[in-house]
Amino acid sequence: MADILQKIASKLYEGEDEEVAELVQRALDSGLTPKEILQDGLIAGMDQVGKDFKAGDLFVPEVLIAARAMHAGMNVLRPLLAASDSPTVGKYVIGTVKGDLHDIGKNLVKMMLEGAGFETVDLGTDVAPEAFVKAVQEHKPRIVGMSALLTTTMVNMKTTIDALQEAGLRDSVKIMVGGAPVTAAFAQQIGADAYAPDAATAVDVARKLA
Amino acid sequence: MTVALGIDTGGTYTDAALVRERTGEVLHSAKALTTRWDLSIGIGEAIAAVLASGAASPSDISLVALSTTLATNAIVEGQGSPACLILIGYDRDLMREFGFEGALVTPDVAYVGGGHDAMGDEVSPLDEDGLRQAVAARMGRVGAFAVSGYFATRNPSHELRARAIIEEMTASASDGGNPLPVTCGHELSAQLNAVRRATTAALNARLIPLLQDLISTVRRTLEAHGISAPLMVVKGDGSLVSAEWAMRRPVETILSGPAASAVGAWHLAGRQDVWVVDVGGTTTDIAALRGGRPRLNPEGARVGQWQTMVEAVDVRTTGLGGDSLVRVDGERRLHIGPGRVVPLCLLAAQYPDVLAELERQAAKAADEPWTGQFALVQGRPVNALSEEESRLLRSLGQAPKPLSALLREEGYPLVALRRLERLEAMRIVMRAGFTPTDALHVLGRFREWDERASLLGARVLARLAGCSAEALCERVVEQVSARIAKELVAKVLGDEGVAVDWAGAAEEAFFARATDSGANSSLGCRLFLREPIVGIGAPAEAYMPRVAELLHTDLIIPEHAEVANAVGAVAGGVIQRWRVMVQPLPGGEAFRAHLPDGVRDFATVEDAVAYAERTVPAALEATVRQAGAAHVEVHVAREDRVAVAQAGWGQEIYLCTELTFTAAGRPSPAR
Repeated sequence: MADILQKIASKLYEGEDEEVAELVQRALDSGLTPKEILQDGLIAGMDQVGKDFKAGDLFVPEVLIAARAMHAGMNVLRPLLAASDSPTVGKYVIGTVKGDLHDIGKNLVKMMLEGAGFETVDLGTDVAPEAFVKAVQEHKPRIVGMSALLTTTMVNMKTTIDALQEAGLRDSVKIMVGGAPVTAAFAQQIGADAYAPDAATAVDVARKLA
Repeated sequence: MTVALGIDTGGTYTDAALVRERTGEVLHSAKALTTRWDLSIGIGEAIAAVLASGAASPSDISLVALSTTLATNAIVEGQGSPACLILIGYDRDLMREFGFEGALVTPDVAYVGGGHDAMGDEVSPLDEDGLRQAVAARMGRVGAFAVSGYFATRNPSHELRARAIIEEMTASASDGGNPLPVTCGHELSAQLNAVRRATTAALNARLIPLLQDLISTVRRTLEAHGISAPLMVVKGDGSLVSAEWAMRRPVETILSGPAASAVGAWHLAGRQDVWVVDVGGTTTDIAALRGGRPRLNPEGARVGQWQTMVEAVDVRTTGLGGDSLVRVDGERRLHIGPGRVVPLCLLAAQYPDVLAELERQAAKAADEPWTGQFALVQGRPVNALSEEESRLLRSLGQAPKPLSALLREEGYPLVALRRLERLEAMRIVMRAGFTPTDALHVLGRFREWDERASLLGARVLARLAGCSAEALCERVVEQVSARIAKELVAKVLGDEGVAVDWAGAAEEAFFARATDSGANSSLGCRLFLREPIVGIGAPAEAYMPRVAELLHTDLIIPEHAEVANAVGAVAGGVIQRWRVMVQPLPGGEAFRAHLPDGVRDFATVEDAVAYAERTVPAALEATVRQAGAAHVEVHVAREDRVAVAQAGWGQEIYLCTELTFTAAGRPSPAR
């Protein structure tokens, strides 16, 4: 039994999307619950990806391929996961701030978060402060994550926090920021709750905040 | 000789002090009982008493300053005039969905189109037709308007325009051409949070008529005593404003009493960095004095159920004072407070008949938890009472009645007690009982009113507690001191971000080991407060030496400590602050200054700062003069907020510049 979960994790790590989907189906047929398969197969594999990415043993393309395999497995599981044993550790609204069109880093964080069991709402790129406010209003997430890849758009992270503050919603969410030029000091300056330097750390930080 | 008259209306006493302006010397002081149903009565008595000393003649008085609990009490008790709150550019769905409408204070709320964004750009134009309709529909039904615009702190133009429209409409509808008062949110706070600004603006609008009434009755009282000096009011940050100003912004006077106490402590003790503990009749208030100013609560003052954005003294208030009710429970434990009662010694001084009843109770053995307590009618009902409440009120009559007799008559004592507590909450009935003040009487540390009643009351409770009357009183004093020490520790740690729960076993154990009562433990520890304590308030001398001993720190009880609040009322300066923010526009090619009257764009940050430094001081000085100041000085503090990007990205990231203009002056002397 445990063998097949192990296999799912390692095939996910290798990015074999078709094989992962097949293995997930076989695990189901053998009587394992969707929750077990998710936790001890898919998420376990994704955790390893995160660790090795952080250590510099994996690179972005490999992580993206692993995330694709994760999705293939999830597609099989999703219809079977009842609302009650829904794996979500929390809702996470994510987006790249206004004026900024970069999305690779943001997408990577999003996939890693999903791998860790977060339910994500992706607002895309060039997201206006008002759109973040609307999304918090609509989805009532635990955490809001903002990404910026330009020093000229980083200031819009502050504007977005200002907008949440003005709406009276600042205290209802935790705010994380990231992106290549962003620093921990900057996060503190603008009143964010946390900063993560890379996607794997983002998952650790999000788990702590959620 | 020029003299300032300071007045403080506290929960129990109204104090008055005559202070020589040049030297700060306290010439004379007096106390009267606070009359909560009409504060001006107690104020009048305190003024009469202090003038009777002959220390100064009415014509010597060049300034009168008042610190008042009126705003705080009115908010806690939900009083206020009907007011309409106009919200400009607020998202109604969001307000509903997150339950924010419950924070709007008044049920009469009108949503109007308009509002700005974080950059101060207009999101949509102000819906003037909608505003006019909303105002027209309320003509004659409300006493004041409050206006709060979305992001009005970044651009106040919609709030200002709305006020002009409301003033024009209400003026033309009134007989005398006087507009109704209109409160704008951006004037009360420069901070972001549209909900809290709306709360603050609505509270302010509702308080205006109440403060107007108080000011006009106080002015009549002053006139009756031949005092023609200008009247000023203490704000929650300890500074002063003219009565005219306070009537427009009454919400800024919340916590005016504790703020005046802290300023008074500084004035009397001459120490700038201390913990101020004000032991009053009703409450004990603890505040930090830093650099001679009371430390303010950056979150804004919380009053009753409302989180306001008023920058007021960060005070920790406990329902523990000289007039707290002392009870003994079935396990012989003492409970002190939080309820406030008339001390037995004072009751007997006014109604000598209660002595005979206390004799009877002290002699007999039947003990109920309310033995030794009395109830007396104190105020008139404002709202309709239930049938049972009316009956209870009738059976009380005019003289104080023993609680045991009153509750027995009602059949079910506990049910009747709840009824009585409701009448107390409505301030119609006041309870009398044994208090720490009575305990001091028995121990010979206080001499006023009728000490026989105190001793009899102590005997009644001593029997319940199974000890002698003296031992009981020593326990009361020790327990009050220990509670104050615990509150002070909780205040210190709370300011440092640590919540203390004294009900917790670990906290209790450490405190016991830090004081004598833990001497039989193997673990010893010591509490050590780094800054000294200044003890003020009438009973400070009785409790504070022990508090300082428990916390191993120095204690200063200055002369006139019992009226420090009234002294503090006249010791404050007139201070107003305006904040101007400069932030980069998208692209970083231009910079926007958010000024008191709107936004303005500049090519560089320095241009924007130079413009603000050129134009703001004069306008602020005019405002602070309007608030009652003379000899005004304006300072500007500049903070550039710059963040550093990750190494390799080269540059600093300019976030914004915050300019804080502070205008300070002395209260302007008599006209």
